[in-house]
Amino acid sequence: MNRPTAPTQSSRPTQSGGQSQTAGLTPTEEAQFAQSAMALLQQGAQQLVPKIRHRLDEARLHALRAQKTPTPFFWQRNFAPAFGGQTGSQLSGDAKHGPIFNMLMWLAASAAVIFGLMAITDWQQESRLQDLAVLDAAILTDDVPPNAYADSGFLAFLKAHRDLSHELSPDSLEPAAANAASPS
Amino acid sequence: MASPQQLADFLSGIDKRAFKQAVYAVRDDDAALDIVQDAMIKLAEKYGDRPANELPLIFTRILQNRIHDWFRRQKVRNTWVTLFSALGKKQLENEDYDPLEHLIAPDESSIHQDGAQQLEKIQLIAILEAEISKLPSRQQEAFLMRYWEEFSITDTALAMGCSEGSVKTHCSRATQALAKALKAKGISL
Repeated sequence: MNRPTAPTQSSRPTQSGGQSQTAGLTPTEEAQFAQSAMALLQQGAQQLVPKIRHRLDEARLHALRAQKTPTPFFWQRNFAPAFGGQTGSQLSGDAKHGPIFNMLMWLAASAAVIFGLMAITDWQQESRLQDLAVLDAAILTDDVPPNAYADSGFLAFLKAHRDLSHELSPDSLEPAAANAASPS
Repeated sequence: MASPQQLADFLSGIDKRAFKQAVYAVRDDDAALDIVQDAMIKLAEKYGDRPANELPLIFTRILQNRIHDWFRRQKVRNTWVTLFSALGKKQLENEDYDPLEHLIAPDESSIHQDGAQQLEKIQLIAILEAEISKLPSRQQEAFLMRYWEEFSITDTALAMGCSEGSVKTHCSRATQALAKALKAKGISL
């Protein structure tokens, strides 16, 4: 901890030499003396004049008005009505944890959502690549003219029968391809 | 987090002791009141969201820092006052000054209750407080934190920024010095 330097001893009364001050008390006697002294000091503290008591009361009230209250996060302010007035830590029952814990929880939730979106995007891209691969394979292996694959209806037919495409003979595809290729 | 009620209870329990500690250090009631008020406000503003069990140690540190700041300001102020008083030595004497107007009357509420024993106790408290004021600052801090605030040696060392051995040494020297001073006046506790 940082601690400011002690005030210069010139501004405070000093006593020189710790050993020369000793009154020859044993540790037990020291404790007893301190206890008696504290009892007297406590009595002295209770006998303050009313003016000082009044000022201390004012100071206490002033301090209480200035008490720092934890600032709710924006979602706690904005989404509170949606949860019937309960938000964040209150809902999860972690009111004893501090704002840092709440922040970490919300960061973890946000990260989970982001990773989920990334996974969905990746899966969609992979699916699209597989579709293109099927199409390429069909173009390379079939006798159907490449123009047929420009027809959206034929592509839909291929997708619908992807798993059966290997069973389809070129003969069975011929009429469909011819229809697709012929200008109507 | 300390609730407003917990903070209020803490402050109401410590305000008089804090005031006395400040008075022992600065020997000026008004300055001590300002110091205590600043410390209370700082505690509430900056550390009002801390758990209630951490408040005593934090408040003590704030109070000690405020006392140290007061001494620093006094040192600077005294430097300037000395400088300007040396430049202009003309001192006007106020002839209208009436000392009776500035005497502070004793507390009316306790006059009729004062018996010999109570008077003796009041005098004893005054002597003890005066002797505590004469202690070196570090001994005074250690003595009051350890025995009046009832901090553990570890907490006292933490608040004072020194080792536990130093706290023990300061406390022992303070107790011995007080006992010796009171003994010299014929008082034994």
